Amino acid sequence: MTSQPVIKTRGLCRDFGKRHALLNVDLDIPAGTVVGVLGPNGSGKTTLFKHIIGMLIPTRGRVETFGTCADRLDAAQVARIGYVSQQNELPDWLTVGEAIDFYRAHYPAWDRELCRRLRGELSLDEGQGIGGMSTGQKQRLSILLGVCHRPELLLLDEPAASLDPVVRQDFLDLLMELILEPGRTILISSHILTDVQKVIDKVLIINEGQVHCHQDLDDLREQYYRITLNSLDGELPRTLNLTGLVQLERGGHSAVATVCNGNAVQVQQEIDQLGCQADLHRLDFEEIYRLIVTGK
Amino acid sequence: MSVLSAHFKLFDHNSKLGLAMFALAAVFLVLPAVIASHAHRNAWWFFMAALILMPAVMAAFTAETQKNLMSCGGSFLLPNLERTVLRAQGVVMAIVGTSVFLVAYLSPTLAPLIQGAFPTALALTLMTLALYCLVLLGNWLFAYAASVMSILVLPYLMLIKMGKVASLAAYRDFFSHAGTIIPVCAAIMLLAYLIVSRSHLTRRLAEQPYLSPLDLYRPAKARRFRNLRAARQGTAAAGRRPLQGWMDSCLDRAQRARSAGNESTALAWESLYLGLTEAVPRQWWKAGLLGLVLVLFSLATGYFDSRYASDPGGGLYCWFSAFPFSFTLIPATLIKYLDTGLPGHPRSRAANLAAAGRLLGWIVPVVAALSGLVWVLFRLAPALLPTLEIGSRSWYFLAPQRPHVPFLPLLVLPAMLVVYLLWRRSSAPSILSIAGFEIFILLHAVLNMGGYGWPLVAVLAVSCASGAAVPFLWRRRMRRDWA
Repeated sequence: MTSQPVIKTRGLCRDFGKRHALLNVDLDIPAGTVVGVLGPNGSGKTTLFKHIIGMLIPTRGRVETFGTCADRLDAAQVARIGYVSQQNELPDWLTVGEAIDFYRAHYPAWDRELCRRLRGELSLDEGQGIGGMSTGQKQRLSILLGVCHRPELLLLDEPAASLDPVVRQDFLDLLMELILEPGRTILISSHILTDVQKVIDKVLIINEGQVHCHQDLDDLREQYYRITLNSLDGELPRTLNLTGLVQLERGGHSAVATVCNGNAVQVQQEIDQLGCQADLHRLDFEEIYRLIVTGK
Repeated sequence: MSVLSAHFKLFDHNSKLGLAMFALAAVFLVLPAVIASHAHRNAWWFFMAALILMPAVMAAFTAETQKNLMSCGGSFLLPNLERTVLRAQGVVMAIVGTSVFLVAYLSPTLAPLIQGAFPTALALTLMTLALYCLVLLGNWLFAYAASVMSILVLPYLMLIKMGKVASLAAYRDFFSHAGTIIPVCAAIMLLAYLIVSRSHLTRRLAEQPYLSPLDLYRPAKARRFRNLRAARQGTAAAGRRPLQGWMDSCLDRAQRARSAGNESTALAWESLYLGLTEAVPRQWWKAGLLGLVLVLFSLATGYFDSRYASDPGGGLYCWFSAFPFSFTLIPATLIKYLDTGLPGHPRSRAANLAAAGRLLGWIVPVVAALSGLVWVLFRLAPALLPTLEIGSRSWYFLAPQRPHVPFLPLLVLPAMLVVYLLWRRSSAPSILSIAGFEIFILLHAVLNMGGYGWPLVAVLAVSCASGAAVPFLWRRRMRRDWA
């Protein structure tokens, strides 16, 4: 018997006027996974997050969070979600201390100790007015408010975009701490791939509203190879029989091929059959991302 | 209690400003009322109107703060937010109700009316609570303008009704006979409040792909809308609204003026567009209902019990001035957005002032035309409207006696502009409305109260002056802080 996914979407479509922000998105995200939601600007990541928490309603299709239609989540279910938004929209007329008090009062499971610690680590002054804070400071406060009730489902929409390098490292440490707690599902969207790949289990790449990749990070890494081929005697064969060939740059005596093939043994066998000198190495994550998104 | 404190902080970024406004309103209402009650034989009605108006002001502030809270993206996922919103309102209502009851029951100013009568004090308390709910409902269901209208126009109507018709005997009679009606009406209002609060207290960001005028205050969100045309497309996403075509043409004119290098005209048209976008309800039925309620209420206040119509203390003329008074909302709403710098459009003070002047040039003829229309309509009304026989009493629609009253808003306009010049804040409409209200009352006091009115006039003048000076000084301090 398999457990119910925390997030389930079927045929999720969202149109803004004539533009398709999301198109036929099918997802199953089980409990306890950490998913990196990646994609270029305007690809639909934030729109997907907003559908998951019920802030937007699909044009077509269905989104279920905790097994309930996302726009019909009850208070108890909403209390199990944490969301750090990209826009850091906070009540500007409150001070940091007042905002913390206000948010805390809505969550029975608020972790005061974590809140106190984060306030110190994120250098948040209780008396400071939110309206006068910089974007980075607001982002720190958003993170604090989003995680201190220890949500089961945490959605982080570019949480580190405005953080300085020191605070970003602290944030990653915090994220690791949260990940270690069993059963917590985290979706994190970011353009800083070096940070993201340290913490995620799965990758979800969205481009132009469509899912281009949704799989384990390790599996993804093991699928992509770059093979540099050099002919031992004369020209390379006219046709290179490589399964999953996605890119090929060739000269007369050499070629650089990029393949997507999860079967390492098969890749090696195919190289051997070509009768060339071959240098095989795996693509790093940023190269894979670029390849999936741009095809280059 | 901490969860409620966020609801009580005023929506302005600096709560001190809001508190200053509130304190000024309290001084303005209570002090003149106390003075008037001693100066004029029947002036306790003023005190009573003040007592009713204060909760309405509190309701408007609470509703505005809560609307901001609920439309804030960060609050979207707060569980049971609606419940805490209602709880906050309940607490305000309890405080207001208790205060009004105690003041009504114990105040020597109201002694001639209340005379320690528990049911009368209770009826007065219920009236204020009903008004409190009405303002909240107006704010949720309609727009900011509806809330201002309920705060200012409705109590004003009550005020003139009480002040100009009733003698003490009439009041006692009213409360004794209305002992059952008032609690029933208040209960209906409370019920409506509860029903509407269940259905309308929704988190406004849910399924809100359009840009609301309120969002223009939020640079982070507004930045996503590259220009006003995008903003228009954003607001239009929610469907065509009343006057949409005309509002769109305002925007086109703004863009043409900007292309021609006429920045002040462009600002004036933009301000007109944004003011209308905020003030006009999104649905025709809401616009119609709002207009109907205002007209019906104005007509209703024109009817007087025949037994009291002959009261020599009653001037019986100014009931219809409440309707043109609502015209002061026009400049308040339109001038508001002159200071709201849209992304990519930094505004200079000189351009703003020129645009304000241009707007005033448009507003004066409009208000004059509306005043003229009201004057004609209310001249015709007594001849057209029948006498109502209700129970053993007859109610007459009385002709207004002083024809100049509909045109008083025209005198108020320049004064409002002066207040604007001193204040120049994006939250100016409430200030302008309050200023307009104060100035309007001032004119009435001068015209109607004769020798008794002068102490009242003195206090009102000081109140108006301080109302303008405090924010001006506050603004200077802010400038120093920024420097």
